[in-house]
Amino acid sequence: MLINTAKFGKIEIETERILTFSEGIIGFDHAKRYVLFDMAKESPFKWLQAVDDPVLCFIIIDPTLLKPDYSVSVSKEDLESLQADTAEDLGSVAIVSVQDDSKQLTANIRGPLIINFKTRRAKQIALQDQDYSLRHKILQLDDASVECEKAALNG
Amino acid sequence: MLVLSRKQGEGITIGDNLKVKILDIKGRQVRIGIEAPPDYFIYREEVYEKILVENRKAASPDSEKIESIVNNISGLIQKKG
Repeated sequence: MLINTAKFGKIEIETERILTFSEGIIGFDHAKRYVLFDMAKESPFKWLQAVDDPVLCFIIIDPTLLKPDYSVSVSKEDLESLQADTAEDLGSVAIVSVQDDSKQLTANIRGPLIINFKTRRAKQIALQDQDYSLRHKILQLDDASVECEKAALNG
Repeated sequence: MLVLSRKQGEGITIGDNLKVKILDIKGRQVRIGIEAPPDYFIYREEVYEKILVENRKAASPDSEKIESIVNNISGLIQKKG
């Protein structure tokens, strides 16, 4: 189908690629359908573009790249609404944002998007785990500390 | 705001699809059961508000700026992962 987006213009997507958030994403319940786009070759970041709202998009990342032991507990009700038989069918992604006048890049690993890649159903859930932050720091963005972070990540 | 008093085991019906039941009362804590269709958001209020704020901040970012940032650090995160 042909979709209209502010970022990519008009593009053709296969309907099988559409992810359905039956409740929407919190704060954006007008948009139920999204599609994922790679950002750049081999980038861990992806675009999550709304199908029904050309302007609405998010940047997302696999939270296990930020926290290797990341795990979510999904309730029976969540499994049902995602039409999943077991939690093994599910994957999670975290929404990325820029904080404090562009000083910090963070990921919301407390309120991940849970995706059933088999049925293409998805929803945002809220985790009780206090160890997971709404603003998990990915990177400090002022120049000096970007270098520090680079060194730390490489080391 | 509509205010109703309910005892343990009693409930409230809202519209055709929503049922709220007081399951248990222990000291200052109340356990509430909610029956709702799957397309209803149900979250603890304080967590919902926080996620809402973060989502609004993250939505439709200034794409050139953030793209250049994330492209610069993409390789680093892959290495880390």
